[in-house]
Amino acid sequence: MSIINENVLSPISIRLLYEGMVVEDDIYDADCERLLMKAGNTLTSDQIERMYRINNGRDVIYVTGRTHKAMASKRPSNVEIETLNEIEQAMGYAKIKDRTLEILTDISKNKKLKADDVNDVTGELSGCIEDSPPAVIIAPINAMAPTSEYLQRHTVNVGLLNGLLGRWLGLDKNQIDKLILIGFLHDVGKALMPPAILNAARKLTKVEYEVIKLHPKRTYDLCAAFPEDVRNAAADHHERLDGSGYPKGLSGDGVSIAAQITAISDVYSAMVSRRVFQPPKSPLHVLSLFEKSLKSQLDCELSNVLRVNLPAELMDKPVLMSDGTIGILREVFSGDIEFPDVEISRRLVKTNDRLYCVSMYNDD
Amino acid sequence: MSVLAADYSGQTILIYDMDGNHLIDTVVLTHNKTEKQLYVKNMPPRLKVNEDCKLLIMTSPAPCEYVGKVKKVGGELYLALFQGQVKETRAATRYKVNTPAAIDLYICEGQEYKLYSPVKVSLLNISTSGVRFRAPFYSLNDGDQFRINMTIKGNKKSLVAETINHLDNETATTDYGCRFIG
Repeated sequence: MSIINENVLSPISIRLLYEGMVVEDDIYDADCERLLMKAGNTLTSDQIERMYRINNGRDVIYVTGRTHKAMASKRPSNVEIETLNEIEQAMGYAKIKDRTLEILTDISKNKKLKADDVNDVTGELSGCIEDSPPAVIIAPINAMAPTSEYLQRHTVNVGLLNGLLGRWLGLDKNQIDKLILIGFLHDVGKALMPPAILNAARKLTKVEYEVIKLHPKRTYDLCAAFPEDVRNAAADHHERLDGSGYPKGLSGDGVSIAAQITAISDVYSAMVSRRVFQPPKSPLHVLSLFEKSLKSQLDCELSNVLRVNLPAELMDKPVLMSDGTIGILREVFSGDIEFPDVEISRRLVKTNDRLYCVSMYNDD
Repeated sequence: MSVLAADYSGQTILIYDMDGNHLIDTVVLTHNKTEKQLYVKNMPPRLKVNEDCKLLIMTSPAPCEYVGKVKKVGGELYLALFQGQVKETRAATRYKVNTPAAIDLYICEGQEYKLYSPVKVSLLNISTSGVRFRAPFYSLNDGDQFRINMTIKGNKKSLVAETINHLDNETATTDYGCRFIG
Protein backbone atom coordinates (compact mmCIF):
# COMPACT_ATOMS: atom_id res chain seq x y z
CA MET A 1 0.00 0.00 0.00
CA SER A 2 1.41 3.40 -0.89
CA ILE A 3 1.05 6.50 1.20
CA ILE A 4 -1.17 9.00 -0.54
CA ASN A 5 -2.69 12.43 -0.17
CA GLU A 6 -4.66 12.74 3.05
CA ASN A 7 -7.59 14.42 1.35
CA VAL A 8 -8.18 11.79 -1.32
CA LEU A 9 -10.36 8.74 -0.74
CA SER A 10 -8.37 5.59 -1.16
CA PRO A 11 -9.26 1.90 -0.97
CA ILE A 12 -8.47 -0.43 1.87
CA SER A 13 -9.70 -3.89 2.74
CA ILE A 14 -12.69 -4.07 5.05
CA ARG A 15 -10.89 -6.97 6.71
CA LEU A 16 -8.46 -4.53 8.24
CA LEU A 17 -11.22 -3.10 10.40
CA TYR A 18 -11.40 -4.65 13.83
CA GLU A 19 -13.53 -4.64 16.92
CA GLY A 20 -12.60 -1.76 19.18
CA MET A 21 -11.00 0.28 16.40
CA VAL A 22 -11.67 4.01 16.63
CA VAL A 23 -12.47 5.15 13.10
CA GLU A 24 -10.31 8.15 12.21
CA ASP A 25 -12.19 9.05 9.06
CA ASP A 26 -15.52 8.53 7.41
CA ILE A 27 -15.76 5.13 5.69
CA TYR A 28 -17.47 4.82 2.31
CA ASP A 29 -18.65 1.78 0.39
CA ALA A 30 -16.93 0.23 -2.63
CA ASP A 31 -18.70 2.68 -4.96
CA CYS A 32 -17.62 5.71 -2.89
CA GLU A 33 -21.28 6.66 -2.71
CA ARG A 34 -22.65 5.49 0.58
CA LEU A 35 -21.35 6.48 3.99
CA LEU A 36 -20.90 3.27 5.98
CA MET A 37 -19.49 4.73 9.19
CA LYS A 38 -18.79 8.20 10.45
CA ALA A 39 -15.42 9.16 11.89
CA GLY A 40 -15.05 8.96 15.62
CA ASN A 41 -17.07 5.77 16.13
CA THR A 42 -15.61 2.78 17.94
CA LEU A 43 -16.32 -0.29 15.86
CA THR A 44 -18.12 -3.35 17.14
CA SER A 45 -18.04 -6.70 15.35
CA ASP A 46 -21.76 -6.32 14.57
CA GLN A 47 -21.08 -3.00 12.87
CA ILE A 48 -18.25 -4.50 10.82
CA GLU A 49 -20.49 -7.38 9.71
CA ARG A 50 -23.26 -4.96 8.87
CA MET A 51 -20.89 -2.83 6.78
CA TYR A 52 -19.76 -5.96 4.99
CA ARG A 53 -23.37 -6.82 4.09
CA ILE A 54 -24.29 -3.29 3.04
CA ASN A 55 -21.16 -3.35 0.87
CA ASN A 56 -22.64 -6.46 -0.80
CA GLY A 57 -19.82 -8.67 0.39
CA ARG A 58 -17.23 -6.56 -1.40
CA ASP A 59 -13.93 -6.31 0.35
CA VAL A 60 -12.98 -2.77 -0.76
CA ILE A 61 -14.02 0.25 1.24
CA TYR A 62 -12.78 3.83 0.91
CA VAL A 63 -11.21 5.98 3.56
CA THR A 64 -9.09 9.12 3.53
CA GLY A 65 -5.32 8.90 3.49
CA ARG A 66 -4.92 9.16 7.26
CA THR A 67 -6.55 5.81 7.88
CA HIS A 68 -4.82 4.43 4.83
CA LYS A 69 -1.44 5.39 6.28
CA ALA A 70 -2.26 3.86 9.63
CA MET A 71 -3.29 0.57 8.00
CA ALA A 72 -0.05 0.36 6.05
CA SER A 73 1.94 0.30 9.26
CA LYS A 74 0.19 -2.89 10.46
CA ARG A 75 1.80 -5.18 7.84
CA PRO A 76 4.82 -7.34 8.71
CA SER A 77 7.98 -6.26 6.94
CA ASN A 78 9.80 -9.57 7.24
CA VAL A 79 7.57 -11.69 5.05
CA GLU A 80 6.40 -11.56 1.43
CA ILE A 81 2.61 -11.57 1.20
CA GLU A 82 1.30 -13.24 -1.94
CA THR A 83 -1.47 -11.81 -4.02
CA LEU A 84 -4.50 -13.89 -4.98
CA ASN A 85 -3.20 -14.06 -8.53
CA GLU A 86 0.14 -15.47 -7.39
CA ILE A 87 -1.57 -18.09 -5.22
CA GLU A 88 -3.77 -19.19 -8.12
CA GLN A 89 -0.94 -19.37 -10.66
CA ALA A 90 1.03 -21.84 -8.51
CA MET A 91 -1.20 -24.78 -9.42
CA GLY A 92 -3.02 -23.76 -12.57
CA TYR A 93 -5.97 -23.01 -10.30
CA ALA A 94 -7.10 -20.00 -12.32
CA LYS A 95 -7.59 -22.05 -15.52
CA ILE A 96 -9.41 -24.82 -13.63
CA LYS A 97 -11.67 -22.23 -12.02
CA ASP A 98 -12.47 -20.63 -15.39
CA ARG A 99 -13.37 -23.97 -16.97
CA THR A 100 -15.56 -24.75 -14.00
CA LEU A 101 -17.35 -21.45 -14.50
CA GLU A 102 -18.06 -22.45 -18.11
CA ILE A 103 -19.59 -25.74 -16.95
CA LEU A 104 -21.75 -24.01 -14.34
CA THR A 105 -22.84 -21.33 -16.81
CA ASP A 106 -23.96 -24.00 -19.27
CA ILE A 107 -26.01 -25.65 -16.54
CA SER A 108 -27.66 -22.33 -15.65
CA LYS A 109 -28.74 -22.07 -19.29
CA ASN A 110 -30.38 -25.50 -18.97
CA LYS A 111 -27.72 -27.30 -21.00
CA LYS A 112 -26.78 -30.86 -20.04
CA LEU A 113 -23.84 -31.57 -17.80
CA LYS A 114 -21.27 -33.25 -20.06
CA ALA A 115 -19.24 -36.02 -18.46
CA ASP A 116 -16.26 -35.28 -20.73
CA ASP A 117 -16.06 -31.65 -19.61
CA VAL A 118 -16.24 -32.66 -15.96
CA ASN A 119 -13.70 -35.45 -16.37
CA ASP A 120 -11.26 -33.04 -18.03
CA VAL A 121 -11.40 -30.71 -15.05
CA THR A 122 -11.35 -33.41 -12.38
CA GLY A 123 -8.41 -34.99 -14.20
CA GLU A 124 -6.54 -31.72 -13.66
CA LEU A 125 -7.53 -31.71 -10.00
CA SER A 126 -6.31 -35.27 -9.68
CA GLY A 127 -2.97 -34.20 -11.11
CA CYS A 128 -2.77 -31.36 -8.56
CA ILE A 129 -3.45 -33.76 -5.70
CA GLU A 130 -0.76 -36.15 -6.94
CA ASP A 131 1.92 -33.63 -7.75
CA SER A 132 1.47 -30.55 -5.57
CA PRO A 133 2.46 -30.11 -1.93
CA PRO A 134 -0.56 -29.84 0.36
CA ALA A 135 0.35 -26.24 1.28
CA VAL A 136 0.08 -25.23 -2.38
CA ILE A 137 -3.28 -27.04 -2.71
CA ILE A 138 -4.67 -25.48 0.48
CA ALA A 139 -3.59 -21.92 -0.34
CA PRO A 140 -6.29 -21.08 -2.95
CA ILE A 141 -8.94 -22.79 -0.79
CA ASN A 142 -8.14 -20.47 2.13
CA ALA A 143 -7.50 -17.42 -0.05
CA MET A 144 -9.60 -14.27 0.15
CA ALA A 145 -11.27 -13.99 -3.23
CA PRO A 146 -14.11 -11.97 -4.78
CA THR A 147 -17.54 -13.14 -3.64
CA SER A 148 -18.70 -13.11 -7.25
CA GLU A 149 -16.47 -16.16 -7.86
CA TYR A 150 -17.81 -18.14 -4.92
CA LEU A 151 -19.68 -20.95 -6.67
CA GLN A 152 -16.98 -21.88 -9.17
CA ARG A 153 -14.23 -21.64 -6.52
CA HIS A 154 -16.24 -23.66 -4.03
CA THR A 155 -16.89 -26.35 -6.65
CA VAL A 156 -13.15 -26.67 -7.33
CA ASN A 157 -12.21 -26.36 -3.65
CA VAL A 158 -14.44 -29.17 -2.45
CA GLY A 159 -13.01 -31.37 -5.19
CA LEU A 160 -9.49 -30.51 -4.02
CA LEU A 161 -10.31 -30.96 -0.34
CA ASN A 162 -11.88 -34.34 -1.01
CA GLY A 163 -8.73 -35.32 -2.87
CA LEU A 164 -6.50 -34.10 -0.03
CA LEU A 165 -8.55 -35.98 2.54
CA GLY A 166 -8.31 -39.08 0.39
CA ARG A 167 -4.54 -38.64 0.17
CA TRP A 168 -4.22 -38.18 3.95
CA LEU A 169 -6.44 -41.22 4.50
CA GLY A 170 -4.01 -43.27 2.40
CA LEU A 171 -6.59 -44.22 -0.23
CA ASP A 172 -5.56 -45.52 -3.66
CA LYS A 173 -5.66 -43.39 -6.79
CA ASN A 174 -9.02 -44.68 -8.02
CA GLN A 175 -10.66 -43.95 -4.70
CA ILE A 176 -9.10 -40.47 -4.56
CA ASP A 177 -10.21 -39.71 -8.11
CA LYS A 178 -13.76 -40.76 -7.26
CA LEU A 179 -13.76 -38.49 -4.21
CA ILE A 180 -12.49 -35.59 -6.32
CA LEU A 181 -15.29 -36.20 -8.82
CA ILE A 182 -17.93 -36.34 -6.08
CA GLY A 183 -16.58 -33.17 -4.50
CA PHE A 184 -16.57 -31.36 -7.81
CA LEU A 185 -20.13 -32.41 -8.61
CA HIS A 186 -21.71 -31.82 -5.22
CA ASP A 187 -23.07 -28.31 -5.81
CA VAL A 188 -23.65 -28.26 -9.58
CA GLY A 189 -27.38 -28.18 -8.78
CA LYS A 190 -26.90 -24.67 -7.39
CA ALA A 191 -26.40 -23.39 -10.93
CA LEU A 192 -30.15 -23.97 -11.36
CA MET A 193 -31.09 -21.99 -8.25
CA PRO A 194 -32.35 -18.39 -8.59
CA PRO A 195 -29.34 -16.05 -8.71
CA ALA A 196 -31.31 -13.55 -6.61
CA ILE A 197 -31.29 -16.06 -3.76
CA LEU A 198 -27.76 -17.42 -4.31
CA ASN A 199 -26.30 -13.90 -4.27
CA ALA A 200 -28.52 -12.41 -1.56
CA ALA A 201 -26.38 -10.26 0.74
CA ARG A 202 -28.48 -11.11 3.77
CA LYS A 203 -29.88 -14.05 5.69
CA LEU A 204 -32.27 -16.13 3.55
CA THR A 205 -35.97 -16.18 4.40
CA LYS A 206 -37.57 -19.47 5.39
CA VAL A 207 -39.15 -19.79 1.93
CA GLU A 208 -35.86 -19.00 0.15
CA TYR A 209 -34.10 -21.62 2.26
CA GLU A 210 -36.72 -24.20 1.20
CA VAL A 211 -35.86 -23.32 -2.41
CA ILE A 212 -32.11 -23.74 -1.85
CA LYS A 213 -32.75 -27.14 -0.27
CA LEU A 214 -33.78 -28.28 -3.74
CA HIS A 215 -30.18 -28.15 -5.02
CA PRO A 216 -29.06 -31.66 -3.93
CA LYS A 217 -31.91 -33.21 -5.93
CA ARG A 218 -31.00 -30.97 -8.87
CA THR A 219 -27.39 -32.17 -8.51
CA TYR A 220 -28.52 -35.79 -8.61
CA ASP A 221 -30.64 -35.17 -11.71
CA LEU A 222 -27.85 -33.31 -13.50
CA CYS A 223 -25.35 -36.12 -12.87
CA ALA A 224 -27.24 -38.71 -14.94
CA ALA A 225 -24.07 -39.49 -16.93
CA PHE A 226 -22.19 -40.63 -13.82
CA PRO A 227 -22.37 -43.88 -11.80
CA GLU A 228 -25.15 -44.15 -9.23
CA ASP A 229 -22.81 -44.21 -6.23
CA VAL A 230 -21.19 -40.95 -7.42
CA ARG A 231 -24.59 -39.32 -7.96
CA ASN A 232 -25.84 -40.33 -4.55
CA ALA A 233 -22.70 -39.30 -2.69
CA ALA A 234 -22.71 -35.90 -4.43
CA ALA A 235 -26.41 -35.36 -3.67
CA ASP A 236 -26.09 -36.53 -0.06
CA HIS A 237 -23.53 -33.90 1.01
CA HIS A 238 -26.11 -32.17 3.24
CA GLU A 239 -27.07 -35.36 5.04
CA ARG A 240 -25.88 -35.49 8.66
CA LEU A 241 -25.03 -38.36 10.99
CA ASP A 242 -27.65 -37.25 13.53
CA GLY A 243 -30.43 -37.25 10.92
CA SER A 244 -30.73 -33.46 10.84
CA GLY A 245 -29.72 -33.15 7.19
CA TYR A 246 -31.61 -33.13 3.91
CA PRO A 247 -33.02 -34.07 1.42
CA LYS A 248 -33.45 -37.68 2.54
CA GLY A 249 -33.00 -37.32 6.32
CA LEU A 250 -30.39 -40.11 6.40
CA SER A 251 -28.46 -40.83 9.57
CA GLY A 252 -25.48 -42.79 10.83
CA ASP A 253 -24.26 -45.50 8.47
CA GLY A 254 -26.98 -44.53 6.01
CA VAL A 255 -24.71 -41.67 4.95
CA SER A 256 -21.97 -43.08 2.73
CA ILE A 257 -18.33 -42.43 3.64
CA ALA A 258 -17.88 -40.47 0.42
CA ALA A 259 -20.85 -38.26 1.31
CA GLN A 260 -19.46 -37.75 4.83
CA ILE A 261 -16.08 -36.72 3.44
CA THR A 262 -17.77 -34.35 1.01
CA ALA A 263 -19.84 -32.86 3.83
CA ILE A 264 -16.67 -32.06 5.77
CA SER A 265 -14.98 -30.52 2.73
CA ASP A 266 -18.15 -28.57 1.89
CA VAL A 267 -18.48 -27.10 5.40
CA TYR A 268 -14.79 -26.21 5.59
CA SER A 269 -14.70 -24.52 2.19
CA ALA A 270 -17.92 -22.59 2.80
CA MET A 271 -16.82 -21.29 6.17
CA VAL A 272 -13.32 -20.12 5.20
CA SER A 273 -14.61 -18.42 2.05
CA ARG A 274 -15.65 -14.83 1.76
CA ARG A 275 -19.43 -14.84 1.18
CA VAL A 276 -21.80 -12.10 0.14
CA PHE A 277 -23.67 -12.34 3.42
CA GLN A 278 -20.80 -13.00 5.86
CA PRO A 279 -17.06 -12.53 6.18
CA PRO A 280 -14.71 -15.56 6.15
CA LYS A 281 -13.70 -17.53 9.23
CA SER A 282 -10.22 -18.59 10.21
CA PRO A 283 -9.34 -22.19 9.19
CA LEU A 284 -8.30 -22.94 12.76
CA HIS A 285 -11.65 -21.70 14.08
CA VAL A 286 -13.45 -23.97 11.59
CA LEU A 287 -11.31 -26.95 12.63
CA SER A 288 -12.23 -26.26 16.26
CA LEU A 289 -15.93 -26.28 15.29
CA PHE A 290 -15.56 -29.80 13.90
CA GLU A 291 -14.82 -31.06 17.39
CA LYS A 292 -17.39 -28.83 19.11
CA SER A 293 -20.72 -27.75 17.63
CA LEU A 294 -20.46 -29.95 14.52
CA LYS A 295 -19.43 -33.09 16.41
CA SER A 296 -22.83 -34.78 16.24
CA GLN A 297 -23.35 -34.00 12.57
CA LEU A 298 -20.03 -34.75 10.90
CA ASP A 299 -17.83 -37.80 11.39
CA CYS A 300 -15.19 -37.02 14.03
CA GLU A 301 -12.63 -39.51 12.77
CA LEU A 302 -12.80 -38.08 9.27
CA SER A 303 -12.75 -34.46 10.39
CA ASN A 304 -9.84 -35.37 12.65
CA VAL A 305 -7.82 -36.19 9.55
CA LEU A 306 -8.24 -32.55 8.55
CA ARG A 307 -7.52 -31.31 12.08
CA VAL A 308 -4.32 -33.30 12.35
CA ASN A 309 -2.90 -32.61 8.89
CA LEU A 310 -4.08 -29.18 7.85
CA PRO A 311 -2.49 -26.87 10.47
CA ALA A 312 1.03 -27.85 9.38
CA GLU A 313 0.21 -26.50 5.91
CA LEU A 314 -0.71 -23.11 7.36
CA MET A 315 2.60 -22.55 9.12
CA ASP A 316 4.45 -19.33 8.38
CA LYS A 317 1.50 -17.99 6.40
CA PRO A 318 0.09 -14.49 6.97
CA VAL A 319 -3.06 -14.19 9.05
CA LEU A 320 -5.35 -11.25 9.70
CA MET A 321 -5.72 -10.56 13.40
CA SER A 322 -8.75 -9.18 15.23
CA ASP A 323 -6.94 -5.87 15.91
CA GLY A 324 -6.30 -5.31 12.22
CA THR A 325 -2.65 -6.32 12.26
CA ILE A 326 -1.25 -8.96 9.96
CA GLY A 327 0.70 -11.65 11.75
CA ILE A 328 2.53 -14.79 10.76
CA LEU A 329 1.25 -18.13 12.01
CA ARG A 330 4.09 -19.80 13.89
CA GLU A 331 2.70 -22.62 16.05
CA VAL A 332 -0.62 -24.45 16.40
CA PHE A 333 -1.49 -26.49 19.49
CA SER A 334 -3.51 -29.66 18.98
CA GLY A 335 -5.21 -29.25 22.36
CA ASP A 336 -6.12 -25.60 21.68
CA ILE A 337 -6.27 -25.41 17.93
CA GLU A 338 -8.20 -22.15 17.77
CA PHE A 339 -5.55 -20.09 19.60
CA PRO A 340 -2.15 -20.54 17.99
CA ASP A 341 1.05 -18.57 18.51
CA VAL A 342 1.38 -15.76 15.99
CA GLU A 343 4.33 -13.50 15.27
CA ILE A 344 3.21 -9.86 15.29
CA SER A 345 5.77 -7.07 14.77
CA ARG A 346 8.56 -9.63 15.37
CA ARG A 347 7.13 -10.69 18.75
CA LEU A 348 5.58 -14.10 19.41
CA VAL A 349 2.07 -13.64 20.78
CA LYS A 350 -0.23 -16.30 22.26
CA THR A 351 -3.65 -15.57 20.79
CA ASN A 352 -6.84 -15.68 22.86
CA ASP A 353 -10.47 -14.62 22.63
CA ARG A 354 -9.45 -10.95 22.79
CA LEU A 355 -6.71 -11.12 20.17
CA TYR A 356 -7.41 -13.89 17.66
CA CYS A 357 -6.99 -14.89 14.02
CA VAL A 358 -9.83 -13.63 11.86
CA SER A 359 -8.78 -15.25 8.57
CA MET A 360 -5.80 -16.15 6.42
CA TYR A 361 -4.49 -13.13 4.56
CA ASN A 362 -3.45 -12.41 1.00
CA ASP A 363 -3.25 -9.25 -1.01
CA ASP A 364 -5.98 -8.76 -3.59
CA MET B 1 -68.47 -8.54 -12.56
CA SER B 2 -71.99 -9.68 -13.56
CA VAL B 3 -73.57 -12.51 -11.59
CA LEU B 4 -74.13 -14.19 -14.95
CA ALA B 5 -70.42 -14.21 -15.80
CA ALA B 6 -69.37 -17.44 -14.11
CA ASP B 7 -70.79 -20.72 -12.87
CA TYR B 8 -70.01 -21.12 -9.19
CA SER B 9 -71.23 -24.70 -8.84
CA GLY B 10 -68.79 -26.68 -6.71
CA GLN B 11 -66.92 -23.61 -5.50
CA THR B 12 -66.13 -23.05 -1.87
CA ILE B 13 -68.14 -20.18 -0.40
CA LEU B 14 -67.54 -18.27 2.83
CA ILE B 15 -70.69 -16.74 4.34
CA TYR B 16 -70.67 -13.79 6.78
CA ASP B 17 -73.43 -11.70 8.33
CA MET B 18 -73.64 -8.04 7.38
CA ASP B 19 -71.45 -7.12 10.37
CA GLY B 20 -68.67 -9.26 8.94
CA ASN B 21 -69.01 -12.09 11.46
CA HIS B 22 -68.06 -15.40 9.92
CA LEU B 23 -70.95 -17.87 9.81
CA ILE B 24 -69.83 -20.88 7.78
CA ASP B 25 -67.50 -22.19 5.08
CA THR B 26 -69.43 -24.39 2.73
CA VAL B 27 -69.83 -25.40 -0.91
CA VAL B 28 -72.09 -24.16 -3.70
CA LEU B 29 -74.26 -27.10 -4.71
CA THR B 30 -75.86 -25.51 -7.74
CA HIS B 31 -75.75 -22.08 -9.31
CA ASN B 32 -78.84 -21.14 -11.27
CA LYS B 33 -77.33 -18.41 -13.38
CA THR B 34 -80.58 -17.45 -15.08
CA GLU B 35 -82.44 -16.89 -11.82
CA LYS B 36 -79.28 -15.71 -10.01
CA GLN B 37 -79.76 -18.27 -7.27
CA LEU B 38 -77.17 -20.13 -5.27
CA TYR B 39 -78.04 -23.35 -3.47
CA VAL B 40 -75.44 -24.07 -0.82
CA LYS B 41 -74.74 -27.04 1.42
CA ASN B 42 -75.60 -26.37 5.09
CA MET B 43 -77.16 -22.92 5.02
CA PRO B 44 -76.31 -21.28 8.37
CA PRO B 45 -79.30 -21.66 10.70
CA ARG B 46 -78.69 -18.13 12.04
CA LEU B 47 -79.76 -16.63 8.73
CA LYS B 48 -83.49 -15.98 8.38
CA VAL B 49 -85.56 -15.60 5.24
CA ASN B 50 -85.10 -12.14 3.67
CA GLU B 51 -81.96 -11.55 5.71
CA ASP B 52 -78.92 -10.20 3.86
CA CYS B 53 -75.48 -11.71 4.13
CA LYS B 54 -72.01 -11.25 2.63
CA LEU B 55 -70.56 -13.93 0.42
CA LEU B 56 -66.99 -14.62 -0.65
CA ILE B 57 -66.77 -17.22 -3.41
CA MET B 58 -63.28 -18.71 -3.71
CA THR B 59 -62.73 -18.42 -7.45
CA SER B 60 -59.34 -18.15 -9.18
CA PRO B 61 -57.27 -16.07 -9.69
CA ALA B 62 -59.03 -14.10 -6.91
CA PRO B 63 -62.19 -14.54 -4.84
CA CYS B 64 -65.48 -12.81 -5.78
CA GLU B 65 -67.67 -11.09 -3.23
CA TYR B 66 -71.42 -10.60 -3.28
CA VAL B 67 -74.25 -9.59 -1.06
CA GLY B 68 -76.93 -12.24 -0.96
CA LYS B 69 -80.48 -12.39 0.40
CA VAL B 70 -81.84 -15.57 1.92
CA LYS B 71 -84.95 -16.79 0.09
CA LYS B 72 -87.17 -19.83 0.32
CA VAL B 73 -88.93 -21.74 -2.40
CA GLY B 74 -90.63 -25.09 -2.03
CA GLY B 75 -89.33 -25.40 1.53
CA GLU B 76 -85.73 -25.04 0.38
CA LEU B 77 -83.49 -22.09 1.24
CA TYR B 78 -81.26 -20.45 -1.31
CA LEU B 79 -79.28 -17.26 -1.71
CA ALA B 80 -80.48 -14.69 -4.19
CA LEU B 81 -77.50 -12.77 -5.47
CA PHE B 82 -77.77 -9.06 -6.07
CA GLN B 83 -78.71 -8.58 -9.62
CA GLY B 84 -76.14 -7.17 -11.97
CA GLN B 85 -73.04 -6.16 -10.13
CA VAL B 86 -70.57 -7.48 -7.64
CA LYS B 87 -70.31 -5.13 -4.73
CA GLU B 88 -67.13 -3.22 -5.45
CA THR B 89 -65.24 -1.20 -2.96
CA ARG B 90 -61.96 0.66 -3.36
CA ALA B 91 -60.64 -1.02 -0.27
CA ALA B 92 -61.96 -4.56 -0.58
CA THR B 93 -63.88 -5.89 2.40
CA ARG B 94 -61.78 -8.21 4.48
CA TYR B 95 -63.39 -11.39 5.69
CA LYS B 96 -62.01 -13.03 8.79
CA VAL B 97 -60.92 -16.62 8.38
CA ASN B 98 -59.08 -19.01 10.61
CA THR B 99 -57.78 -21.59 8.19
CA PRO B 100 -54.45 -23.36 7.96
CA ALA B 101 -52.67 -23.01 4.65
CA ALA B 102 -49.21 -23.57 3.20
CA ILE B 103 -46.89 -21.89 0.76
CA ASP B 104 -45.62 -24.57 -1.61
CA LEU B 105 -44.28 -22.67 -4.61
CA TYR B 106 -41.94 -19.70 -4.95
CA ILE B 107 -41.86 -17.59 -8.10
CA CYS B 108 -38.65 -15.79 -8.96
CA GLU B 109 -37.81 -14.03 -12.22
CA GLY B 110 -40.62 -15.84 -13.97
CA GLN B 111 -39.51 -19.29 -12.82
CA GLU B 112 -41.46 -21.47 -10.41
CA TYR B 113 -39.70 -23.41 -7.67
CA LYS B 114 -41.62 -26.02 -5.71
CA LEU B 115 -40.39 -25.78 -2.12
CA TYR B 116 -38.52 -28.69 -0.60
CA SER B 117 -40.97 -28.45 2.32
CA PRO B 118 -44.13 -26.29 2.26
CA VAL B 119 -44.12 -23.46 4.77
CA LYS B 120 -47.22 -23.65 6.95
CA VAL B 121 -49.15 -20.44 7.60
CA SER B 122 -52.48 -19.43 9.21
CA LEU B 123 -54.87 -17.27 7.24
CA LEU B 124 -56.12 -14.25 9.18
CA ASN B 125 -58.39 -12.58 6.67
CA ILE B 126 -59.14 -12.67 2.97
CA SER B 127 -60.71 -10.36 0.42
CA THR B 128 -61.22 -10.20 -3.31
CA SER B 129 -57.90 -8.47 -3.68
CA GLY B 130 -55.68 -10.18 -1.19
CA VAL B 131 -55.02 -12.16 1.93
CA ARG B 132 -53.34 -11.67 5.28
CA PHE B 133 -51.70 -14.58 7.04
CA ARG B 134 -49.41 -15.39 9.94
CA ALA B 135 -46.22 -17.28 9.17
CA PRO B 136 -43.05 -18.26 11.03
CA PHE B 137 -40.76 -15.27 11.58
CA TYR B 138 -38.98 -13.98 8.46
CA SER B 139 -40.64 -16.40 6.06
CA LEU B 140 -40.81 -13.91 3.19
CA ASN B 141 -39.58 -10.55 1.96
CA ASP B 142 -41.85 -7.77 0.71
CA GLY B 143 -42.32 -8.25 -3.03
CA ASP B 144 -41.94 -12.05 -2.95
CA GLN B 145 -44.34 -13.98 -5.19
CA PHE B 146 -45.60 -17.41 -4.25
CA ARG B 147 -48.48 -19.86 -4.33
CA ILE B 148 -50.53 -20.48 -1.22
CA ASN B 149 -52.69 -23.58 -0.80
CA MET B 150 -55.63 -23.77 1.52
CA THR B 151 -58.28 -26.39 2.19
CA ILE B 152 -61.72 -25.10 3.07
CA LYS B 153 -64.41 -27.68 3.75
CA GLY B 154 -62.47 -30.34 1.93
CA ASN B 155 -61.98 -28.14 -1.13
CA LYS B 156 -58.40 -27.36 -2.03
CA LYS B 157 -57.72 -23.91 -3.34
CA SER B 158 -54.49 -22.43 -4.70
CA LEU B 159 -53.94 -18.72 -5.06
CA VAL B 160 -50.90 -16.83 -6.30
CA ALA B 161 -49.98 -13.77 -4.29
CA GLU B 162 -47.30 -11.16 -3.68
CA THR B 163 -46.34 -9.76 -0.28
CA ILE B 164 -46.87 -6.02 0.05
CA ASN B 165 -46.24 -5.49 3.77
CA HIS B 166 -45.36 -7.35 6.92
CA LEU B 167 -45.53 -6.97 10.68
CA ASP B 168 -43.23 -8.86 13.03
CA ASN B 169 -44.92 -10.16 16.16
CA GLU B 170 -43.45 -10.82 19.58
CA THR B 171 -44.36 -14.48 19.24
CA ALA B 172 -41.65 -15.30 16.67
CA THR B 173 -44.19 -14.98 13.87
CA THR B 174 -44.72 -12.45 11.13
CA ASP B 175 -48.04 -11.30 9.65
CA TYR B 176 -47.92 -10.76 5.89
CA GLY B 177 -50.33 -8.64 3.83
CA CYS B 178 -50.46 -9.89 0.24
CA ARG B 179 -52.29 -9.09 -2.97
CA PHE B 180 -53.45 -11.66 -5.47
CA ILE B 181 -51.69 -11.72 -8.81
CA GLY B 182 -51.71 -13.87 -11.93
